[in-house]
Amino acid sequence: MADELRPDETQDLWRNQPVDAVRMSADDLRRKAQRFEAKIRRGFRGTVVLMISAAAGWAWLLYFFPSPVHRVGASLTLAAYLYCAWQLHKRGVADKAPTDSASATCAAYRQELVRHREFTSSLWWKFMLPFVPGPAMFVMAFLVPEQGVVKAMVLTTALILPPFVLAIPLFRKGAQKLQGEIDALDTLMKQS
Amino acid sequence: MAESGCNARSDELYEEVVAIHGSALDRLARAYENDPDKRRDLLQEIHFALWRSFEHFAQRCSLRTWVYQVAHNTAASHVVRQRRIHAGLVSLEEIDSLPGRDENELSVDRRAVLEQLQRLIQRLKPVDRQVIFSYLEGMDAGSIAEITGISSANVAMKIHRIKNILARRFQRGGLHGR
Repeated sequence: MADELRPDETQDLWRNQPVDAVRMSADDLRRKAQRFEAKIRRGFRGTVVLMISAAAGWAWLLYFFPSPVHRVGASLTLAAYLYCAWQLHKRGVADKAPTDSASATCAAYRQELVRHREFTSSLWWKFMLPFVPGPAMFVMAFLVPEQGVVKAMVLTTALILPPFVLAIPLFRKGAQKLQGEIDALDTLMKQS
Repeated sequence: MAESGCNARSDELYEEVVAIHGSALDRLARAYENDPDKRRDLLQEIHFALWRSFEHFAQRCSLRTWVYQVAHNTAASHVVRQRRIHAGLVSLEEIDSLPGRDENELSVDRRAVLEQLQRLIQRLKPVDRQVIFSYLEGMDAGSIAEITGISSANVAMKIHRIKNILARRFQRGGLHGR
């Protein structure tokens, strides 16, 4: 059509748009590198503080509820906190790592999607499942003497199950969406 | 330490790249982020990633290819981190199949045309975004294929589609109101 923009006109329009160019000096970049490292150190310290706080809280419960079942429950929950803090720390370091080298953008993007898919599909068992046995035992320790074993188990399950029922399909859907993206990229890269 | 590997050569290459590709990098950030503050952060992140990357630059490809690979990879990670992946990004094929000229997209001036173009680009999935950005920057299919890692034939096909989409959606009339 006569009034359509020619391809070169669109390109000219794009290339001649006003820009707000950033120019960082070598000193700025070094300062940014230092800030980046400081951020990682702060993240690590934060994780340590979280671990210590959780440990202190559950140690208090260990002291406050001296029955063996309570203690096992509190210990398992404490272990779950430590495990999750370690997982978060591991993930945080990987997330904040800047691109150090170039690779074809399709491959790099695919790698990023795979990483997110793995994280999404592992969320429920990495960050939710560890918190099942400890709190379950802890709650059971209160309920069994008053409700009996069967009723206590039913109540505990009713308390613990809903978050899983809601979260697992959501995580699965997210992972499937990412997998769809990965498949589309694979198809594109195969057509060479 | 991040600092240790980045030497005078990194500084020199960085200076050279900013002088040659600085404006294009800004446009690249515009293709990925609409919010001005986040865009500035992304642009700084790209500059930082580039500076760090020069430590590993062994001239196995051209400096331009290297720069765009690092820049696109940083920006694509930004898109994934921002969870835009779940916000209904579409492919060129999907955009192409949408109704041609939307009344809402009719342009009134040059700035509006650019905004429409940016919106169109930002709706695309990262790989298609890389292709359309590189096309708008005037790169040939071979260079785009080298940057993205998809075949030249595929790139050529995508460029053909991009030209159709742009022709259908943008009018010359929009440039008269500058």
